[in-house]
Amino acid sequence: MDNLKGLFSLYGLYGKMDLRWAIQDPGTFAMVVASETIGNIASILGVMLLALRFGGVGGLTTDEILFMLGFFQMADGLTFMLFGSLNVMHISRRVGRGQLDHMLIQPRPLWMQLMAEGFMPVSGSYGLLTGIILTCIACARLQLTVSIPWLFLLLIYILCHAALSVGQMYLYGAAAFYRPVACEEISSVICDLNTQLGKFPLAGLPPWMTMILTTLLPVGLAAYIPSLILLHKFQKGPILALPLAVAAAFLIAASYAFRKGLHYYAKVSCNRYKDMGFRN
Amino acid sequence: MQKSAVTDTRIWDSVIELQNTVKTYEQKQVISLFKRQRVQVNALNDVSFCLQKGDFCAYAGPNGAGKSTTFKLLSGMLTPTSGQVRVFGKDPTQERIPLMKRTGILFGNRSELWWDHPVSASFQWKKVVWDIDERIYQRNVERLTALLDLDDFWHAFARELSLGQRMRANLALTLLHSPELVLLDEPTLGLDVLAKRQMIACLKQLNREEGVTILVTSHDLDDLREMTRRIVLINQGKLAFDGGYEELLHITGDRRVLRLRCEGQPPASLAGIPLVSVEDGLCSYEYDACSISTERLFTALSTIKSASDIELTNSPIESVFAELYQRWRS
Repeated sequence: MDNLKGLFSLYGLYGKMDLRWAIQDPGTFAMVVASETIGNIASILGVMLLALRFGGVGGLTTDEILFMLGFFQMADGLTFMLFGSLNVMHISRRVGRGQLDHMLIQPRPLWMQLMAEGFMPVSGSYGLLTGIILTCIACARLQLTVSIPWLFLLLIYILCHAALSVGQMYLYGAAAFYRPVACEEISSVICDLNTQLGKFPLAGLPPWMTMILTTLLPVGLAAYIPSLILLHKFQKGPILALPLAVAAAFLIAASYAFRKGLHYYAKVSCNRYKDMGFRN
Repeated sequence: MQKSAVTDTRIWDSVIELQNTVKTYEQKQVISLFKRQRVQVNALNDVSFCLQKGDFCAYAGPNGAGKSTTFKLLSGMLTPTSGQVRVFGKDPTQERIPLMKRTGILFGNRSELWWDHPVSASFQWKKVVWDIDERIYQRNVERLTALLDLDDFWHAFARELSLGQRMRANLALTLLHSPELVLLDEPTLGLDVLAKRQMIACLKQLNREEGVTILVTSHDLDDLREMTRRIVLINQGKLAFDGGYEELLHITGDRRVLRLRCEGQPPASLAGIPLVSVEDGLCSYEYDACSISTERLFTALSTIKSASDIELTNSPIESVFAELYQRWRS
């Protein structure tokens, strides 16, 4: 109970600091939001233009592609809003730059700090908002029946996306405990991989590749499979639980790898320190 | 050099206690393009010392002596290879959270300030994260603002502060939760005289009035001498000295500097004391006061007809340490 209270007090604190940042420097805030929104829309435009040109891609119609891209933006935007600040998501940067020490001197459990420190509800909300708008447009065009269970399922898959992204970034990012210099950017590479490949439908690929892209390298679970389920292309079967199962597996693996890395860190520490990026 | 017998290192109810602490790192060395070797480096080698409540102790040594490793061990960031590390009787790696509530840590080259926020916001951030009571927070903000002169830049962005202002703000942030133990790694790094004075005065006051235990490292040994009563010297991971400054000076010899202003060629030696430097007509002779009598010295001085001024001082502590470090190295 105390931990939960502590976690929410930290969410309140980081939310307030983010709001304060937006208010105290509105010019910079407006520039950041405008440029990131344009960047976000541009990043989905490639797939959208393909769908418009060919009347759909990978067995999905143009509106279904719009729905998938909206879902991706929404899920990725939420992940960014929860963990995007101060390199909490790009954990290999923090570890590789020797900045984890800043967290170890705080009288809070490390998991609590990692959960809350990246929270930016104001300056990090553009992706989520863009995603909500795109999804609403797609739902209207597809004339989807939006019910409470459907919304619940949507929320579950969005959370699965967040867990998958963070899980992968922490799993591979734990390598920075062992090789701080070489692996400093590994979480960012994983993030870019998901962002770039997660927006493409997997239809037409050989079954073995589809299998890999929905389990070991689960870019297919970032938006494609959840969208198919939410568009009622899969009504039942184990595939409905696949995003949940893979997300849980990645979270468990990430937790194990990160703990192992922390034990190693307590033995050798980090022989470098870069203040670049720390609370900048 | 012998370790002083002044400090009992076997007291269990101390604030800080290191007992036979060893910390070994493995270092990879590149011998040639295709040949590597792994070398065991003893960052700390069987180090034992303790600090009682209210101690204000300097922790000094040459680069790579093991000072930062000790700080990381004390703050629970590192585990010792063998031996014990206790802070308030607890293992810092196992009891990190309760210990961090009672400890303030400042690394001179790192900042806890929020770059894109006013200084005041960093203090409000710390209040929540450290769960500081409102009354204590208000009291400490008022006191630290006055002690460290933070008023002028309290509402300024941290990124726009000068180094001195930033270090003062960082120190105030370190002290905000009324820590019982303060670990300062190079707090005066790069500061001008005024900023140093403010920082030292603040630390001395806290130590004197509230009994805060402070362990401080610095390469500025005159600062250390001004701040602390006790000094622990470490060299190549081993404890080289633990005691007071007078005792240290006694061990290293009662070094004095004789400065003589004279016209013409100064004598190359004076009663056997060698000339070490000549600057703007000021000749410096360094000697050990235990090895030469004052009478002999003055007799030698009286023979110099062109002497216009004479000054006799203790050797600066920097010179004492430079000689010590040189001796250790060789």
